[in-house]
Amino acid sequence: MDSSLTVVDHNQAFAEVFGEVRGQTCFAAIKKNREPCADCPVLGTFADSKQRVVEEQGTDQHGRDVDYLARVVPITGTDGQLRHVAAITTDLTDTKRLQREYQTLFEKVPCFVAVINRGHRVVKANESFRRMFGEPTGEPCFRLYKRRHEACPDCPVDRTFRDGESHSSHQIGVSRDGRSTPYLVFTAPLLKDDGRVTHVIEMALDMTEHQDLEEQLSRANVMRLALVENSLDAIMVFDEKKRFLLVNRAAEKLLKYRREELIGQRAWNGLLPDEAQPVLSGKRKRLLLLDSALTTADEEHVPVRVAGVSLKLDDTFLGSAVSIQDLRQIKNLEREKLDAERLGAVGETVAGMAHGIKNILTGLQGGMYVASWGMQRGDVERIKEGWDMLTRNMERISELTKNLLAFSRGETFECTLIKPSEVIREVVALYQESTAQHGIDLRAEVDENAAPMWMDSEGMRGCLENLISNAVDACLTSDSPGCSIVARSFEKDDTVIIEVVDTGCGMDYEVKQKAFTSFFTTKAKGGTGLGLLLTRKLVQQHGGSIEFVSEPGEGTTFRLLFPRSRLPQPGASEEDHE
Amino acid sequence: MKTIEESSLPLVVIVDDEVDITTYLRFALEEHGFRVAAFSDAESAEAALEVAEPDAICLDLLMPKHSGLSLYKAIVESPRLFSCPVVIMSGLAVRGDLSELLERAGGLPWPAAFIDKPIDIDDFISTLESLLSARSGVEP
Repeated sequence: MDSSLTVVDHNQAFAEVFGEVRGQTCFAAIKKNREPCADCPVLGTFADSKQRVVEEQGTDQHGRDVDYLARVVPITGTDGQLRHVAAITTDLTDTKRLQREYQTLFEKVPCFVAVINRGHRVVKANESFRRMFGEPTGEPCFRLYKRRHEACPDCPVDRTFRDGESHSSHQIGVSRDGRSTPYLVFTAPLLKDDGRVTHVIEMALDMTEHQDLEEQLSRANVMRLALVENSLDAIMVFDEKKRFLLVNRAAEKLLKYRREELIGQRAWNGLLPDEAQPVLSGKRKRLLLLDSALTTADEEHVPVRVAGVSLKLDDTFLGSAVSIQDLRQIKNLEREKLDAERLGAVGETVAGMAHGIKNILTGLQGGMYVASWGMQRGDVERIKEGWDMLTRNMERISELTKNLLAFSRGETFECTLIKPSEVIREVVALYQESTAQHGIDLRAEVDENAAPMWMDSEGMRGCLENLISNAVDACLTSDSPGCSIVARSFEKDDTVIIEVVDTGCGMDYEVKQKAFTSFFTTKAKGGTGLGLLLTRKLVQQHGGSIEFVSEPGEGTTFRLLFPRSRLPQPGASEEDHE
Repeated sequence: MKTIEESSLPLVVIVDDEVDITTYLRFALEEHGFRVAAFSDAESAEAALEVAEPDAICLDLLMPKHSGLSLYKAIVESPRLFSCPVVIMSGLAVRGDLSELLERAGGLPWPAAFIDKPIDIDDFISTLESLLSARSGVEP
């Protein structure tokens, strides 16, 4: 540049940044200004003939900011006159950018960063540090972090000063409010050109939250383990290769293997029900076997309920967990409940029998009274009347005894595999003609696709005949004409349901109360009062139950429910179910 | 003369579907100086009670179609008949059963008397006699 600040020459490197600018002023060429800079170093050197080094910012030929370091050198002619000044510029743009980035990182990193000198004094600190500990005023790090009066015995900063290496360690600090604060501390050396460590940069990460989480996690883990260990159900966890990872106490007890024998072993075929295998191999996500069985170490066959789940993280199969409920106790309770139900039915039968007999006894009493009155007075008419009463009631007793025997002996109980719809259609056909004669609409509504069930088909026919015959009587007794009866079968929730629905006279409360009482009949003649009792007995023999709803004047629905899990098994005979 | 004499005898209505029982009770009661009107179902008894003015009503509870209990309810709710003593005769196993039936039927009052079957005829007659004397203040 000459003294008018005009660029008289430049090299190629300069042109690559600022373009061909010979003849332009330096402030126009480098700074894109119209006026010379206020503190122009070139004018300064023209004034005092001295070299100077300045850091400047200009604009390149594409309009981008350029940081550069300029050494301004006077060029004296052979005559000793200072006519030109040379500016030797070094492009600092990348260095400056890096500096700014590092500064930002230093300031904004979410941990405490401090530059510490050999006397443990904090000479520079980042934003987090300043927010927590205030502007560094040369206080030593041990006082700031730990409220100590002397350096810590295991000072990581000292170690880095000694060996020039980076180190990390856990330290416990004391916060301003006196709380003990765990820190994870990293130290790194800041080196001078000669390799000497002049300062150490220290980063401290407050681990309070992390430690709390860790503690929560470990507490949750302890509780989870306790839950699993003390569960009444057997719980086993397998890895992806079906090897036992975890076996709880109930599992040891159920399988009769010690966990040391199982952990690490592959679950061999036959140990768990075969249906559980797809979950163990991850081919199935979930599994629920309501009624299954397994064989224990001592070859005992145990009824069990199995729930399994394959464990996946995203798409990676990690293993599986299986929980097994021992059903022995439940099965026993179910059996006991069935027995209790049967005993209850016997009790009701006895109560009902007493009721039936009381009426007959009253009739007998009446006969004796009338006959003896006649005898005392020689009134043959009265004697005959009393005698007839005695005879009638004796006949009733004999009929009752026969029915009782039939009830207590039961019919033969022989099961075949048969569709409920078939039995219903047969019985409905049997009553079709007589009901039509009385103007009663009788029809069957059956699910032909329902699976067959094991049942005593003769007994079941008897039950249906009894229910339909009751329905017919209810229709005949009804005041409203055009009654209908529907016999239907369907399946819901693994339970076969058979219904007989009539729109007949319905039942009063007290008739309902006595419906299952033996010898109770609402039929003026011909009713033994045993039909419903026999029906209930047969239903119970099939593991089922009977219920009904009835409204006076509207009709009655009898419903037989047979859960498939309680149905007789093939070949069942009376002994099995009594 | 006879008609006047007969009409002065207390009238007992008996409702039971067992014909032998109504025959028996009619016979025994007539012998003890009562007039008896017997019915074998609740409906015919209810129809008759619309005009008759009995001194006592003896009811069986469990009968076909309309039960003795609905008849008892009709009597209790009738302004004309509610003061007429009702004897419930039943083969119900225990008195608790009757309490439950009355409760279920809408809280009906306990009857004037409850006679268990088989019927002790002397007990039955004396119950009726004391009910009637309590009502009229004189021996029947």
